[in-house]
Amino acid sequence: MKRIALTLLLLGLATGAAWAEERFPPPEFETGYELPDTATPPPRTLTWERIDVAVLVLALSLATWLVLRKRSRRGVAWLGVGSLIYFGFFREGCVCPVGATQNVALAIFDSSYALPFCVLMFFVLPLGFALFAGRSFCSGVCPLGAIQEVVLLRPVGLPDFLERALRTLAYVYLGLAVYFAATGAAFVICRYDPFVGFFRLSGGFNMLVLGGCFLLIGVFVGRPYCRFLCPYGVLLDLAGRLSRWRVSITPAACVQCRLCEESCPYGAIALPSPRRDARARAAASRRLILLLVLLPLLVSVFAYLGSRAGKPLSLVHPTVDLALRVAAERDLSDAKASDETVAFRKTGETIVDLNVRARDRQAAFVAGGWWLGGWIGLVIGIMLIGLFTLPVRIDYEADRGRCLSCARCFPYCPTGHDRRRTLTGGAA
Amino acid sequence: MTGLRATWRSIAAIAVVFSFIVLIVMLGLYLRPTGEDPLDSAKWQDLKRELSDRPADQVVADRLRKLDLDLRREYFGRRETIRLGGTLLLIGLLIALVAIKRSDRRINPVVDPLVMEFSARAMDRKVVRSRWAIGITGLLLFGGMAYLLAAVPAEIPVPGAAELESPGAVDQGPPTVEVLARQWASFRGYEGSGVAPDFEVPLTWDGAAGENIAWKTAIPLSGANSPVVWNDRVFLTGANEKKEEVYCIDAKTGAMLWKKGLIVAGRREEFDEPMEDTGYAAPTAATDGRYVFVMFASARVAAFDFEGRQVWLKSFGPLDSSYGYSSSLSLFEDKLLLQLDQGYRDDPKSRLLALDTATGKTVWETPRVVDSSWASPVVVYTESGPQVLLSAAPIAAAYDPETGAELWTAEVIEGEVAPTPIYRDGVAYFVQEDVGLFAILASGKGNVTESHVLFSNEDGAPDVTSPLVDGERIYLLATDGYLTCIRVADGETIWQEDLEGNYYASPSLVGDVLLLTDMDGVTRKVAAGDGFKLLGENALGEKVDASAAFGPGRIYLRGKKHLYAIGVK
Repeated sequence: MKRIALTLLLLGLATGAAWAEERFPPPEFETGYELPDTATPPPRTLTWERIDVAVLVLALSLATWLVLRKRSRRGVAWLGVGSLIYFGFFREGCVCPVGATQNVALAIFDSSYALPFCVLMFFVLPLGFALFAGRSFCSGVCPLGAIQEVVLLRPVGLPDFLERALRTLAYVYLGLAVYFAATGAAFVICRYDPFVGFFRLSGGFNMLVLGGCFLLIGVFVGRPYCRFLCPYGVLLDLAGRLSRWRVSITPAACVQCRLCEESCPYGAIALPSPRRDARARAAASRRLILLLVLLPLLVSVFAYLGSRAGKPLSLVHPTVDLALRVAAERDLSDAKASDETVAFRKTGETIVDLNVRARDRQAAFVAGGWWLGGWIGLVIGIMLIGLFTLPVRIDYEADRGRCLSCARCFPYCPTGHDRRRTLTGGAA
Repeated sequence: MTGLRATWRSIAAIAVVFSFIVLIVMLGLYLRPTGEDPLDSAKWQDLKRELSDRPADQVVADRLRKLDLDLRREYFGRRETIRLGGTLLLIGLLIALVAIKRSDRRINPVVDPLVMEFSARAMDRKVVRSRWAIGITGLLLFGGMAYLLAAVPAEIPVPGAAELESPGAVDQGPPTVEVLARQWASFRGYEGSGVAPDFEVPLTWDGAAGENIAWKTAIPLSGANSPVVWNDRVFLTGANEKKEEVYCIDAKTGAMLWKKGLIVAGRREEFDEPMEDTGYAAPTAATDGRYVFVMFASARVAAFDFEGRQVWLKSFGPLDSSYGYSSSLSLFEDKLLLQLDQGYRDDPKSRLLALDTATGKTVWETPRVVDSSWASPVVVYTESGPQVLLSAAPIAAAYDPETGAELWTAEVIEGEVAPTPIYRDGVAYFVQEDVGLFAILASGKGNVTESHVLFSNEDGAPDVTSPLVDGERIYLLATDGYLTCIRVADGETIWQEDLEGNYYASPSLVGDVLLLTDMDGVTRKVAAGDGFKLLGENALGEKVDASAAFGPGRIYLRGKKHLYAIGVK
């Protein structure tokens, strides 16, 4: 019954925001005036950008302190609420480090694109903190994570195999996001951000339904977007593996009580590894060597396929899309002119020049396709290799990369004060 | 503690009910038929149409204004209500969420160490399942990418690709007029107009950077002649004082398919060295899809088949032409037309010749009492039949290309003539630097000087380049870059503009864009119209004297040393 009520609530949330998407029908100007694009919030002033960066630094520092020093789950939760309000509803979810990944990719591949300082800071700072203190950003600073954290009411653990398979998607999504940004096609992370519609109380119907679905799933599966799709999470995962300090489930020595084993709703607690005999270790070594030899082959196959998929993927680019629309209209007598093709014809540009530009873009997609395919092959290969290595772990540990620093595991540890406080209802 | 949780539960229940009621009310508002988008209102559209039919009708205008205002008021009112509802819903949902959390503060179930499986075998099972999962994920990604390849067509059409696959030569008979109109078979294309067929060609290029340069091929010997094109073959010639060569180039790749020197039996006749600007190979070749016909300053004329075999050769020299001979070849059915204007009218040696394209034998010959001319003959198709137009002092003249009979003449030309006449919509246009432009109705007989000259205009007449007409305007480009636009309807000058650069290449028209290539190889794009508008410039990076030629997806520009195909690779 409660679940039904929750479902209703979430769908209602999505529907309410969907209504907000309706636009005021503009008057029919006859002066050639073009309405400005209002799909994204207007640029913020320099002062506000500096304030945003300052708030980000403050929030990251506070999150790091709450997780590593204070070990306060409650503090992290309230920080998340604060971030949700500021970075989410107040700043309307933009700029965020997740989307900034694309700006950085575009800046690297397009010298004519000037990367705003604020965007650069939003990209770099959480990664910098992750290098030293783990994923502080995910713990209570990211508004996308915070909104999912809020709705997590009945966490259900996913089977390990499903968890790993789904996690692959985040790597693929990162590759695609960089690919599309670098080729100048689209900022897909922003376009398909499932939560920004809620933050702005506006958005396309599909986007809001997508966000509603994520929140609905998020009631039972902890932070599905963060774990299985977030491209920036991949970078934070990699940075977190190198971090100097990190979350420790226990503040003291682990007594192997196993009480925390199922405490993490994000599947980020690594169990102690069982002992292996010499034969098993030798067999594992042989398999590892074989896989390492096969890795370049796997990468090459995927890279080739990626290059071939470059042309179909280039359809995302507006120029390529326009060129094909124009060609279709010319070849098919019954093809109806679209707004885009009508606008194109008014520019006076020839079809050939349009096609030349489109083919130029396609060439970039094909070249980038090698890297995209290679990246996917590399991810699959390394994940498989990781499963053929024998870990050596003595205690229960928060996984260096995957731990979101949410502090949910702290109360489970009998060696910490948090546990006692929880069991006594906060009276300790 | 239990009491507090019960309170939270009650709050949660109230919040859920409240949110549900708001949701229902909003649904009702949303589904209500009134309050539609004003622009979708049938009544509003009817009134708008009515006003468009009777724009001066103030009553209709007032009704439309009032209706528009009412509709917008209603629309905004509804929007405000929905916005308020959305806010209330959001607040209700947030309260419900917090209350649910507070009412049920349980931590995750703690595992029971006694029942948990914890062994190497169990871990191995997990790992094996994970390996399979990753493997299957990889296969799915592989399959997804393969599906993209197979199912999503994304080939951007390459301009002229299909035509460039067409066979180079035709087997039977001379080409029809319709076929000729799609080829660039002689100087300035069909009817010598300089107007490109509706091929899709790029209008932006950069020779140095290689932008839109499909290929670039070195031409061994220089020549002022322009390329001619037949489907996938491009022909041009080059010569010096010792050698005369014909080049056949693959239009697709730029590969030199063959290069042939003229086979001349016996001793080569001596002739006066031409002026440097004219050179030994000024006449542009012509092709009928079976043969390519070439001519040089030596007055040697030859035919080659598409495989590069010399079919016949005739010599008409030496010609009495100061500066060097430069008239290009023209074709009418199975006749090759030569304008052998030379010397002066008081010692007439000039003539118009028609040679059989298959054998080179003279079919007819018409003497002309004219001075030397450097213009070229053009065959045009008038309502009364085909005519070949010739320009040489003192006459602008038209002949029957079938018999060589003179059709009409107009005594309007003086001095030395290089611009080739053009024709459009029943009117022939002749230009000479000193006398200007003459528009002559092509329907006359005999001497039409007094009867058929529509107008003349002395503004901006060029000394080398040929004029161009777009149907409404005539464009004249002087060597020094002075571009003049004259109205066809009354012969009045519409505008004049002094462009940078010096020009030997005649102007071309692609769609509504004039292409004007100066001697430095810079092509200026000017909008064809009643006002001057420079659209841009393209640099070839090599000096250019020859006029542009056009083929499917390609513009051909001959530089001093290379032939450039501008198009998509």
